[in-house]
Amino acid sequence: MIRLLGLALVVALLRHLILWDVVLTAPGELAAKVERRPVVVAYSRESALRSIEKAEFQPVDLRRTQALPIVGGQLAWQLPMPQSMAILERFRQRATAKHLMFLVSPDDRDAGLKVARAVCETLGVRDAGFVVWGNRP
Amino acid sequence: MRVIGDISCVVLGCVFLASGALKSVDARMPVMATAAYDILPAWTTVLVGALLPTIELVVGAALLTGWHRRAAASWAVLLGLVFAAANGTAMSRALLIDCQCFGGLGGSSPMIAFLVDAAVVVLGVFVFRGSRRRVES
Repeated sequence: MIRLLGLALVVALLRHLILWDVVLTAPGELAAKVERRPVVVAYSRESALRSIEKAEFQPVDLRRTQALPIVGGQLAWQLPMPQSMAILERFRQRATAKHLMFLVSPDDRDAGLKVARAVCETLGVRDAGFVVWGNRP
Repeated sequence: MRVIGDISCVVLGCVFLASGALKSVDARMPVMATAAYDILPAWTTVLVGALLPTIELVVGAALLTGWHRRAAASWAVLLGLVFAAANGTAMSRALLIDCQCFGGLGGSSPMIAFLVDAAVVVLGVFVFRGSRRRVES
């Protein structure tokens, strides 16, 4: 086992030296990016609604349809799918809560997760909730 | 048992080789995939992410060529257990992750990733046991 590990270490070193990739050129930047990476936690509808009502989370609505929704008494941001950085800029100053709760349609689960991460990274939010809520009526 | 061991060896070798190769394309990807579990400190995450693809490549190549087959099978079982444990903690914290485990077979669901890891452990045990019998006979 040690021999295989040794070989893997040598191959890894050679690989990074030959490709001269980000692991060798900017490891600090990579580590900083790791530290900034948002942690997205799945919530049930009930617990998500409770958290929004307590104003612990600010809702960000990624569900389909165009009407401006009100969730838990709060006006939810509405972001279209796929994510648009230009539109994100408009929402940047609206982050009043420390954490964001993303609401997505069942069909958009994976795409919604990517958007949620991108939004959090853009806004510098570390923790986010994520709930599959169904389509908006 | 020997035939099962041989088939498991080929399947496992291909899975590890493909997984390592896919992760090797972009040095950032395995680092960020490791970071998604939110377990290790940032610098350790960078180190693990930098080494993991080559460990998988070496284990996959060793399994397919038969070089140190038992040791490679032990590594496969160990990696499977570590990944399963990581996915177990992700499940317990309801984390949503982009698991790049074994070339993204796990998707964003820790449960599916956990099942894939469990299958890897089972195949690794078959290979290990098959190899031992061959040495004894």
